[in-house]
Amino acid sequence: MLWEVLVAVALSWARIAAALAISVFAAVIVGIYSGISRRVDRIVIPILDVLQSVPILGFFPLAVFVLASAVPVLGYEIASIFLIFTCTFWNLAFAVYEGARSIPQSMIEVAELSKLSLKDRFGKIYVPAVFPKIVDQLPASLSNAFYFLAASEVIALGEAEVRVAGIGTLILRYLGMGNYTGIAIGLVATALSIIAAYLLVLMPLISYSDRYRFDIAQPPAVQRTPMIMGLYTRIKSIQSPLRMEQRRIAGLTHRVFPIQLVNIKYVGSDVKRLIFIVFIVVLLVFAGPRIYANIDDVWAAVASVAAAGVRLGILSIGEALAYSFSRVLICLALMLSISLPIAYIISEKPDVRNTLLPILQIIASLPSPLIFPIISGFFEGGIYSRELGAILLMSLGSVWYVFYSTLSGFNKVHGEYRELARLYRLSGFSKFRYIYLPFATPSIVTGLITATGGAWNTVIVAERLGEGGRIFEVQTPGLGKLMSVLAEMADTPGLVFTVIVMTVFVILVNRLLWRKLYDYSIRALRIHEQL
Amino acid sequence: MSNSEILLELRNVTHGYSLRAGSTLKVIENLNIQVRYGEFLGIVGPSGCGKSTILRIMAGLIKPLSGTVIFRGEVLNGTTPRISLMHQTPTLLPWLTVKENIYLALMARKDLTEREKQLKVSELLELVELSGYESAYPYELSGGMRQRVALARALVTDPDLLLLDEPFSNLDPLTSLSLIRELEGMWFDTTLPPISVVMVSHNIEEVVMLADRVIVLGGRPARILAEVPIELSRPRNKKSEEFYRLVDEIFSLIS
Ligand SMILES: Nc1ncnc2c1ncn2[C@@H]1O[C@H](COP(=O)(O)OP(=O)(O)O)[C@@H](O)[C@H]1O
Ligand SMILES: [Mg+2]
Repeated sequence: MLWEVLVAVALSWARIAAALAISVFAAVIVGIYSGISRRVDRIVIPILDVLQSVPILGFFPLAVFVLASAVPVLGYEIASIFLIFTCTFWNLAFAVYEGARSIPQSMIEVAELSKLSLKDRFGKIYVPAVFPKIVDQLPASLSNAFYFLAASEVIALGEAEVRVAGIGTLILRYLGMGNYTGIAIGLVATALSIIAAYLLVLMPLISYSDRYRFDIAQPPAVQRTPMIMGLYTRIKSIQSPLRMEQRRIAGLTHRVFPIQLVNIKYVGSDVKRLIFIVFIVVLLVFAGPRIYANIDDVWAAVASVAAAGVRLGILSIGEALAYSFSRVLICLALMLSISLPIAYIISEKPDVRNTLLPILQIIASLPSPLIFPIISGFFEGGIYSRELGAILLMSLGSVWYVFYSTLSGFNKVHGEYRELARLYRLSGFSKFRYIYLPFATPSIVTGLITATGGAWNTVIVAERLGEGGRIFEVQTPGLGKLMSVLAEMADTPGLVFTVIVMTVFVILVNRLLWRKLYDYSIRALRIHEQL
Repeated sequence: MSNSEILLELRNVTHGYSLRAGSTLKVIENLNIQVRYGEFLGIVGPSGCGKSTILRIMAGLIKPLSGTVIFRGEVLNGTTPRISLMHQTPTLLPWLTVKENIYLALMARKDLTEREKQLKVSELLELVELSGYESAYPYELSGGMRQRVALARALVTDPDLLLLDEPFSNLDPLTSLSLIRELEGMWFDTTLPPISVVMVSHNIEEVVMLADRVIVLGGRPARILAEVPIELSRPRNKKSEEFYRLVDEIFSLIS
């Protein structure tokens, strides 16, 4: 059994590593081009924004398509990697985009004037700007990949269901058999492999990326190196000849954008929306002939999806949506109340940051949906504890987004502002209320926006999970529960209908609520570029 | 000089910052500086020589690696409302009005009533000639006005010692000249409580314009190259020959 587990862990990791590598590569290309070119920005970012809101189940049809067009056997693997990619790509792309956006226009102009080669431009401007952002997001991507581990290893093909070999499917099998020793061994092996990945790959990367990092303006006079980081000081000592340059660039960035604004100006601009529509029209014109050739199939598919909507009942879908949305909102409140104090403490004490952060990251990476069925006995007491269990599980899936954004928001309080609080001996509350919280609010709202998307995705897993006789589900309605049941019954039209409902709802809430809240917070805080 | 004349003293102060590779960069070494009661002390030195570091140590924001800071006869441990520091940049909070920004300095004070605090804020607003702007937000103000708000915030606590970190370096020459004049006016306003000032700058002229005594820093780690008393009568004339001679003398010490 041990051997079986180890092979499964290795297989899962191979897929995750491949998906991560593709994600980073694609994120660098897409993020940097959108970040520096207004034209690309207008087209790509809204598309990413929409795609990001599509739950992983929504990508199943595409995955199946990928499957069908690729070689047999390998096709399933490709489909699985594709599904993992849909869990790891978006946050990376947005992080790279944000990093590229924070490069001052003057830097880009200087590069243009001095005719810097593409290689130098990447090496001296883009990489320093986006590298730390990528490294910061890797844990989030990794934990997301593990969160949806089981989901991405089971590919539903209409009536049939294909399971690729991996630790996710193996644990599911053990769960169905009631083999708890197997599950325990599988989870421990997974946890150990994640810890190893942190120690051997991520920590050195984080440590290496510190040279490009200027968030914390005032490092302590003498930095004590915590044990866990001490292992990597040797890597740190590699001197980069570009360092002075990067320091200067970062200094510039800091001055020009004391508070980094994530650009979300594309919302609400008619011109940009028009360009987006034109893009869609062009796409239709190209895809049109092919669709037309199979027009009957298309109509049949559309009709069956619409019929599924009627069959399921708009009212009951609405009810499920309302229940799930309340869960999402409670989940956000929970994540925020956990993240604010911890992030605050970490940003105040860089020593704590270096020890606590890796531990939190490792915990965040554990595949909680697989751990949950085991401790679910805990939550079986009644309706409330099941609800609590589901909300807890959802929070575990996306708390990282909120936490990290909050932390990076607090880190934007640069040294002189921290000193103000000490000079005037402000109480902890005043310091938080008047200095830290306003500085971090834009970042926190951005984190909440991302986390809402994440929480919606986890709804599918959290409202109903398990295998065979061990099903753990909420007793009230929920859109995720509904989707999970539909997927199990291989009701593809019904599934597509609910995915569309969820996606549209998430996008609407984003546009009508979150973006407004973001704009409002920027205005209310009077954050202008000159500080 | 007898001890009773000294408000603040740095004794054998050494400080440095750790570099990323693990070694320590010494910025100042065995520095001894005395600030007398009621004195306007100027410290000049090239950029990056450690001036801001010295002010932070004087303010109790940084504990030096070695050496002690004596304030009013006692070892200084941490910040105190008796010492104010005005940063190189105005560091105003954009979400607070001018009045609220100044009030921030009094927020934690338990020895004043709310009324007294409000009164002090209004007083200071008047002093820096910003009455009428109390409800404005920092982004609505010019650079010089922001600097004056920062000055008001530093003074509202009635400090014994005011530390100024290059207060004019971010301003255009005309604005900085008018601000220098204002500061000079305040300095000689005998109706205000007496106060000692330490001003650091890399601009020799503005220091000679204001200071009673100038300490010239240089080298790495920085040490005191010279101490120059400025005995010109006030208000000082930038175009006078003695003024020019003093600026020249200090300039040749640095370069
Ligand atoms: N927090 C810090 N960490 C590392 N080095 C610092 C830090 N603050 C200042 N330094 C370095 O110490 C030297 C002196 O800085 P500073 O006191 O700001 O000089 P000045 O105010 O005279 O320009 C500079 O070389 C600067 O790079
Ligand atoms: Mg300085």
